[in-house]
Amino acid sequence: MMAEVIYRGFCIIIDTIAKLMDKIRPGWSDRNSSRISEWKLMAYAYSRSAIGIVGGVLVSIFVIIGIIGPYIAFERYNEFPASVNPDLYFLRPCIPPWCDPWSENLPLLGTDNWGRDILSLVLHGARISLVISLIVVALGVPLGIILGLLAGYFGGAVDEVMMRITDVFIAFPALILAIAFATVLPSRFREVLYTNVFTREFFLSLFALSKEEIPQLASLLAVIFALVLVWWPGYARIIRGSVLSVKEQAFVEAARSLGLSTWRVLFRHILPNVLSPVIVMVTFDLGTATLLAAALSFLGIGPQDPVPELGFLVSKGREYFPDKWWIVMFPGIALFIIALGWNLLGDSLRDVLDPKTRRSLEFKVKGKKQRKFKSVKRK
Amino acid sequence: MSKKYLELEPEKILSVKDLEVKFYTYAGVVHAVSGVSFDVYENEVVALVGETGCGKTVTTRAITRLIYPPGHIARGQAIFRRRNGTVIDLLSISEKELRDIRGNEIAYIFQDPTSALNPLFTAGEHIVETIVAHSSTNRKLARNEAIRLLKQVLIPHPSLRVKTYPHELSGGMRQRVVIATAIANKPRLLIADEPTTNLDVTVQAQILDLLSELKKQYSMSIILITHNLGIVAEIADRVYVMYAGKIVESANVFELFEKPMHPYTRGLLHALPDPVRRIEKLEYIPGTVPSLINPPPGCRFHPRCKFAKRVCREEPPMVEVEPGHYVACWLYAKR
Repeated sequence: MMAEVIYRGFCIIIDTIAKLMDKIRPGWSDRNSSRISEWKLMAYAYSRSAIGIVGGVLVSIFVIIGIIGPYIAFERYNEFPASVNPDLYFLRPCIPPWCDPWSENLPLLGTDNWGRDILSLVLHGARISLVISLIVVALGVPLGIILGLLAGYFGGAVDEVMMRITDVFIAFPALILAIAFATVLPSRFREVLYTNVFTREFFLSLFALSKEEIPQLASLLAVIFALVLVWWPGYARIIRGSVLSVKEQAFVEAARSLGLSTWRVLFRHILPNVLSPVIVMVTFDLGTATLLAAALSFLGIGPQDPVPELGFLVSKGREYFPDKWWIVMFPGIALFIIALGWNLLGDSLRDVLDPKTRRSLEFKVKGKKQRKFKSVKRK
Repeated sequence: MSKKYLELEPEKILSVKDLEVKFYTYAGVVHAVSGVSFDVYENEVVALVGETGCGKTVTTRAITRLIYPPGHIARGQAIFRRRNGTVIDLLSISEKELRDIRGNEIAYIFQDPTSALNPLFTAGEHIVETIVAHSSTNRKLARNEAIRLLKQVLIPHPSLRVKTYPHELSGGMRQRVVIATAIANKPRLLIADEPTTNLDVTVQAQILDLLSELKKQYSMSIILITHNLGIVAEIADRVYVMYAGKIVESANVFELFEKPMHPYTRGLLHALPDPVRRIEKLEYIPGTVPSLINPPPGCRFHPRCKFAKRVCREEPPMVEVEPGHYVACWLYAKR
């Protein structure tokens, strides 16, 4: 039932896209009819995977909270209610079945040592985590892809040098390398942020931080930069491996024999053929990047008070653990859900995006209820 | 770039001289092509015949330097007359100039149409890309040209097929798309590397007809690589027979089939079963192809040759036994 609804929903989206493209470029849907039916098959495969749906739901909750979180949080992270009313220190969480937060006017997830509402902090922290993971992946992955492409395609000395550098980065523990970068970089970033107004405003609004937090913003950016620096080697290696096998295929030689430039062969012929494992890896890595950024903040390298980075919240709550367990617990749960969501989604995407498993699923479906599937597909 | 003045007889389009290609492998240096020379005239089909691994493909790829490490073009010249009449040596011009010639004036058709097409490109995109890479046409005009080309290689419903991906096409159709891509820029020289090997016999005949038809229409020359003597008899004008990286005999196609001179060529023609006669036992050439790491000295065929003499351990000269018929064999050489 549920799966059917999700599948229908995807179909409507795909059809709308096709119609839109048709308006922009007449005849588009005719030309791409096989692509559209493949998309629908993907949607079908995805809607049948329970893991994928759970992951998708978790991830979309996280992304939505990441986007609107700072606006729906009812307290700013840099307001300290306990300084006005000392009764607000360490209020216990008030979760509905045992306690009614509305009638008693108590915070849902408790408060911290400054009387800040934990729920508001987590909502805000989700935004910071989302932005960190997106930037790390958006910068680190293309870097890895380009280096891997060049190393794999040109081979010889280029390959040797690049891959040895990659080996050095991989051999060195990523976390320690990131710590090293993240401790050195903030002072540089601070200068940039103080002098360049546009960059400052852009990043402040991206993380939904207020102006006083510029030094913290610098350490956040340092964490991101450090993660990008340790992120690319894995991608460079994977892409290089795929390029080595793809570049031996006859169509690459054919492309060369047709007089296409190296650049064209590399980016038009080889790149699209090596990208599919990357898409799955990116999904996993969005979760890993969130966790690693939290780990850096936990170790005290990232932003400091009062920025509600999830890892930093956990690290701060440690002092009061286990008496005041909620300060550690709820940011921890948030991190857990984020990582779990991305991993489940990645797991199902791997099956959905792989044409072989997708086909086998199609055959299985056709055996069971062929008519229904076909009628939907034809529409 | 050499400033040397290059000469080419007016009726020739390509003249390869003393080409040598080596592959540096762990097992040793493979002398894949050793001192091959041949000519291609305007509007003619030249066949390069020989068994697997004798260096046919390497020879033709070396012409536009499509040899990659560990391969290396050790010496030789490939003198080519361009469309605008200038004569150049393909083995010494810049990579940029060469790229302008590849796919434009010299085009290739590869053996396996299945892998020669990018699985993520439609039939039309292959052709459009080739056209756009060599001219200033816009993609829309190139697309119309692609439809025209697909029609010319006799693909039914070209305006529909232009949008299909390789996996949606049959083997014969794919090879037609490959051919359409190759002729997209009206090349002066088409190099067809076993264009029919992976196809059904009926489709083979269609593809061969198509090639000779296109040759007439575009007045281009074709170098046809094959080990199938039937195809040679069908389409070629002149034949070069290769053995173990060397050319052993060259002649007009009728001459070669009627009066083969070199023992290897004779062996090859004998090995063709005659459909008219009842066959007791298939003919064959005893022995195996020599290793090209340590090729036999002198004539490379002598370990398998029933006429072998002591002199065969020395390099045989290329002798013109009849006008236009050359053999590299001591049997015909005056000592």
